[in-house]
Amino acid sequence: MTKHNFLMIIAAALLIILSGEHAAGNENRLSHKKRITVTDLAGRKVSVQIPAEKIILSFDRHLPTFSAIAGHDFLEKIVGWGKITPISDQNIYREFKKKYPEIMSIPDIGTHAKGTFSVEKVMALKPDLILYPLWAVLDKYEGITDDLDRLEQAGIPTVIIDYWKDPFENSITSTLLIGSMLGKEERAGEIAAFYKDRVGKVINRLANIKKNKPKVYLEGASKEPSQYGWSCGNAGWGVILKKAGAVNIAEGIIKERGTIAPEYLLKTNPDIIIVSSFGGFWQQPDDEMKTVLPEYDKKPMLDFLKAITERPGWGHLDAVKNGKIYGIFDSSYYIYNNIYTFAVVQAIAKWLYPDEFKDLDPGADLHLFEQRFMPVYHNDLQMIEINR
Amino acid sequence: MNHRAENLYHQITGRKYTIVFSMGIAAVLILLADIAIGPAWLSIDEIFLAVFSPDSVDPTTSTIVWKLRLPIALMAIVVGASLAIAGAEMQTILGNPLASPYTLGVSASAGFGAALALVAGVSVFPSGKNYIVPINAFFFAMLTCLLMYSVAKKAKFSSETMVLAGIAILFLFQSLTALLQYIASEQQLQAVIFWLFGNLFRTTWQKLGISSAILLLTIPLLAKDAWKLTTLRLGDEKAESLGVNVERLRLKTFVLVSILTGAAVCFVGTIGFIGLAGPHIARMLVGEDQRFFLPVSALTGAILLSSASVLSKLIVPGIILPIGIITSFIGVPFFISLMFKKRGGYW
Repeated sequence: MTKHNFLMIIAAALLIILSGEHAAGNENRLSHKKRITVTDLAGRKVSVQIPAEKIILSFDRHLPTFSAIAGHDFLEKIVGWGKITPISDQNIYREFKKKYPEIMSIPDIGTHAKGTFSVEKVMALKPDLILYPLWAVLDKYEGITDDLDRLEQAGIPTVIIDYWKDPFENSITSTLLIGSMLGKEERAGEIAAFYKDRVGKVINRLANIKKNKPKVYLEGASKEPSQYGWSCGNAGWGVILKKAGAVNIAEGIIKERGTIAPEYLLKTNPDIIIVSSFGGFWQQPDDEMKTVLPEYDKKPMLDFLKAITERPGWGHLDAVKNGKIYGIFDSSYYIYNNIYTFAVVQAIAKWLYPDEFKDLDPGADLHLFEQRFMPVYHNDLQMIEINR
Repeated sequence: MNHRAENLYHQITGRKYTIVFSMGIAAVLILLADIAIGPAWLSIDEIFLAVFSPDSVDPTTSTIVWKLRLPIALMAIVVGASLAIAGAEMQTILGNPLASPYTLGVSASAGFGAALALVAGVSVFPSGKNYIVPINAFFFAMLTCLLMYSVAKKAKFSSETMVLAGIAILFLFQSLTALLQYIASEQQLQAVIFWLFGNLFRTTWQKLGISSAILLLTIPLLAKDAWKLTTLRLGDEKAESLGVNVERLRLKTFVLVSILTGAAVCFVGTIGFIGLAGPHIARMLVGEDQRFFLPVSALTGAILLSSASVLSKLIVPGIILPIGIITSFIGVPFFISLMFKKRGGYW
C-alpha cells in the first residue's frame, strides 16, 4: 500500500466516524430526512439523503436552471460551485449579482475544465449532494473519474445531470430529478410541463409539414470570424436542430462536437446558417483582438455575422446569397445547456419554416417562463437575422 | 589508386544524388495526393480543370481548390521544409543532436506569444487585422532564439547546458501559457488550445507567400555555406584550421534559422516533431555532408508534414483534425525503425 492510499483511508475513516457522530447528534432534528436511491443521467445508482439542503454545482452555469427549480431560497442551498463563467463577468451574473450580491462569496471548488477541481474543498464544504454535468464526464477531463470515485468513497453523492447530450428527454428527466432531491417535485413538474408544452408546439406542427427539410449548418463561434468554430453531431445543438425540423449537415460527420472541414461545408451548400455564440464572441478591430459580450447593441453581432460571410467561398453559398444567416448570441451558457432550450427550438423552427410558425413568439414564451420561475430576468439573449 | 578513389567518390555521391532525386519525386507525389484528397471528393479531372482554368468549373469547386486545398497543401511543404532545415542547422551549429525548434523552447515561446494575443488581446507591435497572433508568435520565437544563442555562447556551446537551458525555457513558456489559459474565458481557452495543437487551416495565400519567401531566401544563403557548415561537425579547432570563421558562421546561421523557424511556427502553431526528426532521418540517409544533408532534411520535413496533412483528412473525413497531433503518429514509428536499423551511432 502506498503512503498516499494509506492517508486516504485514514482520512476516509475519520470522515465516516465524524459524519456518523454528526448524524447521530442531529437525528431528532432531521427526522424528516430520508435516504433514497436515484438513477442519475449516466445511469448510476446513487443513494441520496433528501431533501438535500447543501448542494454544490460543479459548474456555475447551472445557476439559472438550479434557481428555477429550487425557487426563492435557491441561494441558501448552494454551498459551493465550480467558478468558470464569472471570470469574464458574464451579463447573466451581473443580473444575479445585482439582486443577490452574495453569489460572489459562494466558495469556488475549482473545475475539471481547467484542472483545478479540489476534492478536498468539496469535502470541507460537506455538501449533501454535488451535481455534475454529463458532458464533462463524457469529455473525460483529466482526473474526473478518480475524483468522482474519491467523492463517492467520502460519502458525498455525485448526481450526474444532463441538458446537453439530449436537451429534451434528459433535460426533463434532470429537472424532475433535481426537483425530487430538493423536495420540490411540484415546482419541477410545472417547469418540465412548460418545457414539454413549448417544444411540443413545434414537434406536433412539424409532423404535419410535408416540405423538404432545409439543410442547416450551425456553428458555435469560438474563434475569430475567419476561423471555423465547432458544430454538433448527435448532441447539444445537433439534437436541437433535429427537433426544430432541420437536416443538420454535421450529423454523421461529427459525433458529438467538432469542427467541420471548410470544403465539406462548401460542397454541402446549406440552405440556412446559424451562428451561436455564448459567453462572448471574437471581434477583431484593426489592431487588437478581443472577445466581446453580447449586449443590447446589435451592431457588433451583425458585424460578426457579416465577417463570417467573408470566409473563402461563402459568397457562393445559397444561405449567404439568400440572406439566410441567423445568430443566437448569449452572454453565458444560459440558453443552451440549460432549462431554456425550448425558446431556441422555437426560434430555429421559425427561421426554418417562417410561414408555418408565424404565430410562434419565442421571446414572449421565454419571458413568461422567467416571470413564472426565475429569480432574475434574462435580458441579453439575442436572436438576430442578418438582413434586418 | 587515385582513379579508384575518384570512382568511389562518384559512387557515393551518385547514390546520394539518387536519394535526393527520389525524395524530391516522393514529395511531389504526396503534394499531389494532398491536393487531390479532401472531404468534398472532387474528381481528378475537376481538380485539374480547377487548377488550370478556374473559370471553367463551378465557383465552389474553384474556391475549394484555390482557396483551401492549394494554399494548405503548399503550406505543409513549406512549413515541413522550414522546420526540418531549422532543426538541421541548429543541430549542426550547436553540435547537439537534441537541438530543434521544439526542444530549444522556440515553439513554446511562440505559443505563449499567440496566447497573449488571444487571451489578453496584447499585441507587441501594432499590426493589421489577421496578423496580431502571428506577429506576437514570431516576436517571442525570435526572443527565445536570441536568448538561447546567448546561453550557448556563454556555455561555449556545451551540449548539456544547451539542452538544459532549452528545456528550462520550454517549461517557463509552457507555464506562462498555462497561466494565461487559467485566466482565460472558455472561448479564449478554446482558441489557445486550438492554436497550440498546430494546424494548417489558417493558411492564406498571403501567409503562404511570407513563409515561402523566407524559406526561398534562406536556402541559398545556407547552401553557400554548405562546406563550412560541414566542417563544423569535425569540431571547432579543425574547422578553424581549415580557415572557417566559426564564430561568425554560427551567428549568421543562427539568425537565419531563427527567422525561418519564426516564420513557420507563427502561422501554423506548434508542430513539434518535424524539426527534430527531419534532420535525423536525413542524416541516417545521407550523412553529414551539407550538400546533401540540407536538401534531404528539407524534403524529409516536407514529406512528413504533407503525409500528416493527407492522413488528417483520411482519418475522420469532413472534420478538422489538428495536424500537430497526426505528425508524431507518422514520424515516430518511422524514426524509431530507422534508429534500430542503423545500429552503429550515426551522430
